Amino acid sequence: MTNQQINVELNAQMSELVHVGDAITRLLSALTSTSDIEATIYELQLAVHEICANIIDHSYKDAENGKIKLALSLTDGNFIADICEQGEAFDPDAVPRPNLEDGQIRGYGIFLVNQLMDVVEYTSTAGGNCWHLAKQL
Amino acid sequence: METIVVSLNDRIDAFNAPQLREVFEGLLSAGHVNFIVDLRDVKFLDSAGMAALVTLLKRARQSSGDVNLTWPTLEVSQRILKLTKFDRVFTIKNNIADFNVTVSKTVTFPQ
Repeated sequence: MTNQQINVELNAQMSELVHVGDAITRLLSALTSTSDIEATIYELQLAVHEICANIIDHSYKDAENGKIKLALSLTDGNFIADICEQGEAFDPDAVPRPNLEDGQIRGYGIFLVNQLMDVVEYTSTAGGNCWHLAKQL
Repeated sequence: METIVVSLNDRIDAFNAPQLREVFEGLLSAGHVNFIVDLRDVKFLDSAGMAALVTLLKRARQSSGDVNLTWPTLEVSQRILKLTKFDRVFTIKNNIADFNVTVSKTVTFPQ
């Protein structure tokens, strides 16, 4: 099994989000390419992308020059993304589950992350805030 | 009834969703209320892109119009839209021709 890690630091700007997908593609490039793997890569890209977009939208709402640090790893088929920032703390429990039957303007992001990943954890300390996402591939 | 096709391609995400909303707003302000948003060539669609589509839908329906979608060709994108129950909120078909409407104008985004 491949054990790899990629660290990426992003400026907290929407224009930087494209690098999230590139980093995940690079991390998983050693896996044999099948349509299933391509779908998995897309889902991981979307989950990490949604967290980063959420950080830019909420944690760094009033901040310029914010940074997002991503540590992406693949260990024995387990994908892990640790995503840390120094912005305002976020309360994931305060995000209502979207009423999907009616169509929602907000709320799809965290819902999708929860659907796409096995583990979604958030911790906020004086040193910063971190999201921990994991999925067994 | 005239229908506007908005043909989306490549990435529709939090970076360009604000511009897409402006395109939708411009079309609504010009009096258009019936839309097909063509997602066949979309390679990546995030929650901000989805929110822009739902906003258009709500605005169009307020004016007695509607918004229909075509399925992205990419299977994984179809699965994401099913996860978010977009296929319950919108009518989604494989091709524009399946809607059997007269298309008066096609707008491409990003251009």
